[in-house]
Amino acid sequence: MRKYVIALLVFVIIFNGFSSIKELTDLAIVKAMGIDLTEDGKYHISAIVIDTSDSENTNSGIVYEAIGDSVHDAARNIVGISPKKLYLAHMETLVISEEVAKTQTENVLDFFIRDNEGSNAFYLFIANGAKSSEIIDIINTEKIDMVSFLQATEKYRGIANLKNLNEIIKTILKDGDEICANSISIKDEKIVINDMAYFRDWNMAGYLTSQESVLYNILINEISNIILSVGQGDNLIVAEVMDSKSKISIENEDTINIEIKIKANLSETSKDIKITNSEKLEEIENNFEEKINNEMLVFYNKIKNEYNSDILGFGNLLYRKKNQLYTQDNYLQKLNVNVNTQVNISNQGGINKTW
Amino acid sequence: MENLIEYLKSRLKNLDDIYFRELNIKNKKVFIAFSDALIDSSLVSNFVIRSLVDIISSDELEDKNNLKSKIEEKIGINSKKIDLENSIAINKIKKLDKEKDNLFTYILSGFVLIVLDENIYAVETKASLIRGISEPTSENSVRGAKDSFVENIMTNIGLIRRRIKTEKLEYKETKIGTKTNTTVGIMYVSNIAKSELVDLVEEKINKIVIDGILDVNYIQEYIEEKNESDFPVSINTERPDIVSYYLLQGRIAVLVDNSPYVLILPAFFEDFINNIDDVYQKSKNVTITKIIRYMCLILTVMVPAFYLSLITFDQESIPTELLTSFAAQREGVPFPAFIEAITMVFAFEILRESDLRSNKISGNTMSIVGALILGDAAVSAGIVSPIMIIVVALTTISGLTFSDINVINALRKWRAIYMIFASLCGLIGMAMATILFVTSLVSTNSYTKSFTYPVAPLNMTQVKKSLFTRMAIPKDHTRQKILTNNLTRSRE
Amino acid sequence: MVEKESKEIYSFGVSCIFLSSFLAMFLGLGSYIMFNLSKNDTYIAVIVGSVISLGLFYIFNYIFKNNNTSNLIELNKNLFGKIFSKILNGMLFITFFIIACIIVFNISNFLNIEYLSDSSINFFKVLVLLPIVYICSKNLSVIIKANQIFTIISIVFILIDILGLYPKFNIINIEPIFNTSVPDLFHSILIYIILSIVAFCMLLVTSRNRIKDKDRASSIIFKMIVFSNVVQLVIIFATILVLGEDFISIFRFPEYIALKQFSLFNLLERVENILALHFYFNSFYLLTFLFYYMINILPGKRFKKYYSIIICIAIYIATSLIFKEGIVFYEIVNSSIIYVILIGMLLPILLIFFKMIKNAKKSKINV
Repeated sequence: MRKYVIALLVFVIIFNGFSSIKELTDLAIVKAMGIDLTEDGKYHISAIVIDTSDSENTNSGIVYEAIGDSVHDAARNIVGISPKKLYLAHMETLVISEEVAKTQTENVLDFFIRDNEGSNAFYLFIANGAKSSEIIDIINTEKIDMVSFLQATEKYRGIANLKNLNEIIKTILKDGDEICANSISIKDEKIVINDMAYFRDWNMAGYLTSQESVLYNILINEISNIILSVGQGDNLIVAEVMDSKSKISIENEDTINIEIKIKANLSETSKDIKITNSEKLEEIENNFEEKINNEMLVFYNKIKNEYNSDILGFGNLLYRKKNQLYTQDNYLQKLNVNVNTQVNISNQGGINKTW
Repeated sequence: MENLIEYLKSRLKNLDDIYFRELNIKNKKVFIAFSDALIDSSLVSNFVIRSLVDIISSDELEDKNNLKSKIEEKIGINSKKIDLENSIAINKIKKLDKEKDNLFTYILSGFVLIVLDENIYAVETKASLIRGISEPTSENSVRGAKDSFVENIMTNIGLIRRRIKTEKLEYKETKIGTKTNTTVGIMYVSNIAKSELVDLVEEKINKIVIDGILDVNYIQEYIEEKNESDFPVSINTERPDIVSYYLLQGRIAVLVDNSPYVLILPAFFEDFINNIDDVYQKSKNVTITKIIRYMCLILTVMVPAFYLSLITFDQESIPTELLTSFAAQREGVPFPAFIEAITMVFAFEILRESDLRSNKISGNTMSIVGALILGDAAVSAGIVSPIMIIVVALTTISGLTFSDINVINALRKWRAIYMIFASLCGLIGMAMATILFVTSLVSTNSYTKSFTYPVAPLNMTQVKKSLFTRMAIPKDHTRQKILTNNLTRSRE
Repeated sequence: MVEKESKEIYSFGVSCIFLSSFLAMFLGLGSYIMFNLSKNDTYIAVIVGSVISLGLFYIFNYIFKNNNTSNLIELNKNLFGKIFSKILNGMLFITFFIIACIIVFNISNFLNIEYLSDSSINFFKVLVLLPIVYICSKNLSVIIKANQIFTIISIVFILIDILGLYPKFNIINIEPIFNTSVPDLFHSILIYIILSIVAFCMLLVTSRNRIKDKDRASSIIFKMIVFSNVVQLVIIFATILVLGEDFISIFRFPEYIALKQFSLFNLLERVENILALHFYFNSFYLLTFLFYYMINILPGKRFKKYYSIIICIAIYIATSLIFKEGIVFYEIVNSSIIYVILIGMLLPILLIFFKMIKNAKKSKINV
């Protein structure tokens, strides 16, 4: 009896299990993908597929392009050119053009939420002033490792952040929170990571400036070792940030408190700055604090009036703390913000500048 | 007496190694029969025959002046009754009865048959046809004693009795096999082992009716008759210190003449993985060794199946660089992954089998050739990919951690089952194969006890003592409840 | 002939039945229903529900302790008359059949979506049902011992999951606290209690006499019930903290999606397909115990070894006809499961309980 059961089991498996086999040689492992809109509303996809005959180089490969009515349709049309089906589980970069971001984001991203092979751990970029297929071409020819590029930018320049698609979709789905996405542009045939783009619900609405991108990343705690500078000319002081924490909380009905704590080291001072005692140090710290406070307030006014998009997540904060202000339509205009920064300069680079 | 001699000669007509000799000492007729192949010839000539001559001649002194004896001397008969049993100086002598005992068994067991005064005596003069005590050939002992059993059952019992010197170590023997008459015995410590188990084993052994017992495996198959699983439920060992260790726990040892292996029962699954050498090492270091051994068990069964299911079904679990490297390697290989895996596993099994068969002269060369073939040549020829060789080599090396050949064969079968399931359904197939494997292990009976003893009916004290850690010997006060009723180690 | 020690059942094995049945009912089915009702306040429902279900334990403990020789089916025959016990057993049989259909469809759906998405779902139903036929032919003690091993493996896997998901916990995802309306919360608590009744029923599969150390049985089972509720609470907490309110209601198997973010020491990533296999093991053993009950309810001795195949085919046909797709399945289960279990399982248990109290009082009066 037991033997018949096992034999039947194997029989059933043989006739049905084979349909899901994906041999390694049938997979086109996609490294990066770009989506564009053509003139008649179709999607133009370009994908970098890793070339397995050259196994030492995993950063570039062959670029395939195809056009289709939907994202999935276009991805299948690539099979017309390449002998293998696209395999999206190891994808690292997705570049979408501005037209797609402004109108079609929801349609495009639905494909990625529903697809089960991947875990949506890749990074989203907006193609700033160029077509995404051009950007994909340059990434391929220059063999750029986008992940380390992005990580270095996030750490040292601060105008990009490391949120992958999962977290972006989570933020879009939240009420009262809007996202800012990284953007890439081409300059002298090289890739440059540019300022962030802000969204309103599912669609892109504009770009922040570079300085505002840095402030935004400070506020959402996605920043590491950027540099701050105050003064100019012979009064220039430059400090390197070691650690920065920001905390946003509700103070009362219509005021929000932002507290920022920064620890920095002095890295470069100009001719006229001589730090001889602790009061001078405190004065320099206060200069930094004032500058950041002012910039934050200007940034917030601009968000309120010009951008009109709640990228700092105040609405979600109100919803979570059950503040009734959130249910009104223009809650953003009615909120006031207090900014309080604390800069702590811990060392001066081990020297005492006495010359 | 003449009838007896004629009877013996006629029955032993075609056995040319049996010698008959008639002696006439002082008118006493003595008749000797023995098998030249089995006796120690110096013992027979210097001792038996000389003692016979001395005994028969020496009695003359007393009755020299008796009238009866003088008359008898003239006629030519000698009517003195000699009680050979009480006068000959030899260690084993037995008086036989023609009807009841089988005379031929004694001749063919190395005894000398002496017919004297209508009595038949059997005197033991066995030649020593065995090798000396040497190192164990199939088991390695790192720190323990290095003597091993030989083919003589009495020597084996001696090696065990050297270690356990108590009168409670009982030994019962029977002779089994109509043509071979092999001695089979069981040993146990009577106030530790459970008497039901001893009765069970004795009953099973006494029921055996067979032509001949050549090895201990014959007995093993008889007493394990109802065991349908692939794993053995008794331990086969060649080392007397292992046998003594298990006897003191309350297990039973079965010894068979002409076999240097001793059977120990009951056996549990953890005994095939743990090694007695753990007791000879520091107890804290043994934990990591045991963890490595359990991981070897899992590795040897599951690694080829795991590799197959990752390559063909779930490629997302592999890191990206490794995936491109695998894909590059598999580009040049014409076969699907399953055929490649089966071929490599089969080739390694051939290598292992030829290693067991080849003698010392050609052994080294052939294994080098085998490694060369499987290594570089197969890869360069494009038949297999390099990662497959690593996978299969890892499997085979982990499989060699187990010393019992039955266990290695059973694991080999389950490795094949895992590979088939994994190549058809991926990780789900491996899950189903795991369910079948665990069920097969759990349903094995080891002499009415569960095979997966500390784990399946969970017994936390035993788990702490021997599953992953070894309790230090001074703290180990009690014996296991499943093997014995006498729990505490006391002074008697 | 000495009685075989390998056919003995120990109390730890019996208590592991509870844990595996509990986890099988919740992961993927119960948690999906509860998450749709009370999004990120589900942990409150779990805490309140587990406290109330300890009260259910009292009823089961009474039944367990005060009869020594029979399991649930024989108990019906002993306590009530012939006709009434046949009606009760028939109701139990239909309830077990429906729950078996639900579990088969649930696990097949899970395997189809997450593992091999190109095969059809009928393949998975056969794949799940056929090993059960093989294992049902074994003795009860073998099934309980194997279940014990797999329960220990499940606990180890769950611990590894928590360890790997811990860096991704985001405490903000818990807020807003207590945002769901009170009727929805009550509905959620009711679902929790109802689904745990199934696990309690599986405990009565063996009679108390067969357990070797029966004096400790009740206390071990109680500790295991508390442990199962804690494990369920930890799993639901982990899912909420990783995913957050909005994501939870989108996915069909939210625990699996939370597990996709597993990363242990930045080394092992995307290994969720290995770690989620304990769901398969637990569902498999819950099905085995349901089959064991069903085979013992059906009368007749001659064809007993063919009953398991007949029930398998019946389940296969029933799931193909009734549950055509995931959404249909969810609607049917959501609307009807409370009544099915209340009438089909809780009612017979309560009847047995009251009858036993009445019998105990009668014997006291007589003496």
